Amino acid sequence: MSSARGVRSTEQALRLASSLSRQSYVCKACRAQAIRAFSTTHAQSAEGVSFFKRMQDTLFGTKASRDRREAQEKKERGREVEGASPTIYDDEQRTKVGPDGQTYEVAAVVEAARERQYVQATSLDGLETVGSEQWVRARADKGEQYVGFVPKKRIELGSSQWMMLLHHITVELLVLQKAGRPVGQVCYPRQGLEDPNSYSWLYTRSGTIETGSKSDGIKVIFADPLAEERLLLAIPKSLSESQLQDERALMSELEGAVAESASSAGNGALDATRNVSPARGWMEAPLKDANIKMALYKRILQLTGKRIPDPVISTSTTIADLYNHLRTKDKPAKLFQSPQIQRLKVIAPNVAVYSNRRTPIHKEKELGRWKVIEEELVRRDLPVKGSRWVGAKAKAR
Amino acid sequence: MSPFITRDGSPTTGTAAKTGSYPTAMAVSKAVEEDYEPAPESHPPAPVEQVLHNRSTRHVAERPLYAPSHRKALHSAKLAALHARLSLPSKLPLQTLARCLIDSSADPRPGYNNAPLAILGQDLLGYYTAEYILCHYPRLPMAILFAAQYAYVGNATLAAMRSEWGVETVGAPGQEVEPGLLQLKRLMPGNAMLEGENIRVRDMPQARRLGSGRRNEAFDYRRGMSSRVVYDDQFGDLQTGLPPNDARPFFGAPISTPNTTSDVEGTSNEAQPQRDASALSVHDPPEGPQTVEDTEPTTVELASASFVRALAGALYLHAGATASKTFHKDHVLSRHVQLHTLFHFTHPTRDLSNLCKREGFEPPVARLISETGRLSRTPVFVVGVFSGEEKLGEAAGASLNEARIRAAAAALRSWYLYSPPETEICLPSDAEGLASISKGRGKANHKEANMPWKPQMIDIGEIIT
Repeated sequence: MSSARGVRSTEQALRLASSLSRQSYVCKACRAQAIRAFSTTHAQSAEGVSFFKRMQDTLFGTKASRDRREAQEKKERGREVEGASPTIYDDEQRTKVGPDGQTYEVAAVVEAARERQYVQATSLDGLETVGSEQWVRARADKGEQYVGFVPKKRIELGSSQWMMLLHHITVELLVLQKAGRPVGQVCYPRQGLEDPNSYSWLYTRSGTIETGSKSDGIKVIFADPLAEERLLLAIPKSLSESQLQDERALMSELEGAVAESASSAGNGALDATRNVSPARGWMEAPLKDANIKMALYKRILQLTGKRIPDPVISTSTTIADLYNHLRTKDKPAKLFQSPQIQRLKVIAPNVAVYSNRRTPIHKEKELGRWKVIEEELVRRDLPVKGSRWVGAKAKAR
Repeated sequence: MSPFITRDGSPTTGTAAKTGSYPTAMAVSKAVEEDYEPAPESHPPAPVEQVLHNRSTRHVAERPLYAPSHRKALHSAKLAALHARLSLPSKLPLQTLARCLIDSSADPRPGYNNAPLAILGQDLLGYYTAEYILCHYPRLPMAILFAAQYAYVGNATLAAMRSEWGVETVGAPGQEVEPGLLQLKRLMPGNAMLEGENIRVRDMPQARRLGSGRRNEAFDYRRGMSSRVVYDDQFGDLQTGLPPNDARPFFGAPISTPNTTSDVEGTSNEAQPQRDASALSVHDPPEGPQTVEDTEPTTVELASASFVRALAGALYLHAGATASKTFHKDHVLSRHVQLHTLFHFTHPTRDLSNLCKREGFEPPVARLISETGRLSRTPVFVVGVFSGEEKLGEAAGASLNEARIRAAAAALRSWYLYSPPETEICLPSDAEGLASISKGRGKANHKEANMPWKPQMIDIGEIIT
């Protein structure tokens, strides 16, 4: 407060001193200098309040402070009155409506002293229990079963498998588009394993994707028109409430779509072999329709759990771009694997090039000291390989 | 005692050099091939049945490795660098160099450690050093000879050599360590505290080391110079680590145990041949420690000395006598030993007069050659010791008596440190290969090929005070 007052007075003084030159602006440095200037004025005398008045205010308070205290007291008194009269439920009232509209049944009060038939329970069996994780879960979802859209386990695919899966989904999408149905129906839950009519992967193989004459269009051509019809039948038209997404059906569809041949579908397990294959010609088909792109993304997510990042979705203009993101890539070659180093191992066997980083433990091992250090650490119940990770001590034991 | 008949001179040395073939080298390299087990890391892990099968069929699978396998030697940068740094001949393989680095405390089995090579190397180094000292300084007293020998090829010198070569030591021996390091089981330092007790290692009451039970080890035995020559090692010190008297000279050697009970009980003579046969059984279990846990820990100095000696022995076996002599010349004789500082006379004047009497010189007379500041605080007298007209020695001293004694000591030192001219010196080891060179290879590029053996000067001995 005193500093602000100092600023005010000195600024005024400066302004008066420089009034001849009509300079209203005082630079920051000058103001700072003025603040630092020494002042002999007492802080209290500058306010213009007499000593008697100040003492009076201190002892009895000002009008403002009195009002504030009264308001506070009033507020507290009101709170006490509320607490003294809690809401008492009527015994006769059997039901009660909650704040969000639902009705609760009020339990009957049983007085053990009056009721002759009342028998005290000797065990917890048969009594209603409150609490436990199971109880909470049962109340929370009210018996509904939640089935996620994304599978719980992410599935890794090899390059050629990705290629086949992309082909399968794209053919389905194009067939839906051709039939005038919304492409989002591709994600609807299928009939399941029991119905062979829902095996859409049997028909998508025969579809050929071609770039259409239109600038934005790609189309699918079937040699057998029956396959197209079957495929349309396999994809449900409506999303039924009772039909839940079946993980086994999704898995079988994925396995069928990425199998080597249609006959071997289903019996081959999914194994992500590290084969690196470049994009094929049909993949150069443009992906301009945002709906198709979105449906493709959703179907990939639904089947494999693989999320495609937004930048990739927005920048990919063809299926090949998507494929290049999804396919397994070559690991960057290490110096250790270079042919020069492999030759060096033969020419100069005493030159050691390691494939991994040399740690202090390696150095200790070369000196033969590591086994001693390890033994002593274990004996003292200390972490052997560092302590900067959770469970380091548990691992040491 | 002839100066050349020391225990350092190995009779087998000459034989091997003369024949030109090295049966021991072949045996050692064969042992290397047979005894070493393949490195576990060089093979993928075998199934359990395969391992069990191998264990039952192959004898070597039962032998664990206490030191890195010889297969790792080829991949060690340290070993290759050491081989190049010492300019070792290519005949000496890296595997043998690696074996030279395995002390007997790291692996007690003689087929794996450097002990056999070190024995040979110690004899060779001792032999070459002794002949060098004796031929160059034929009049050296025995005590100086011992001291000079220790200064050239003693443990401390060889340990310094090891560290100058840049050979480092392991912390603890094991199979996983770098093969280019000196493998030894370290002695616990005396300053270390004993576990669970409030006492230092060096303050522990220790059992006295049991010696070989020889006469000169008794506490009341007067170990004079003659005793040292007869009983002790090449440095005149008590031989430590000698096996007891009834021990076998080598592993598996037949040994007869005197059966005294038969004489007492007076059993029949028919049982005698059977008892002899059992006494001479060869297939006894091997003596001594077989695992690292049983070995005695050693000091870095002792292990370093054994490494250098083993290297000399391995050089002899793999590359021949010339290579080992070159090694000795480059690494041992290149270290200058100031022999005149080793002398310590108690009665130089008396010794000098005894010497003159023995040699038939005129009795020594001390004469003042010059002086300065006789009445000052620091007078200097220069006194010469003369035998007739010949001046034997000269020295300066702060008093007449001191100068006289110093002059006598100088005269004795110059007598003892006499060295024949270089052209007259011919080392026995240089003349060893003459026969084979002249017979087999004709004119070899050998310095000594044209030099016939010259009898070396042999002094009648020192003056015994």
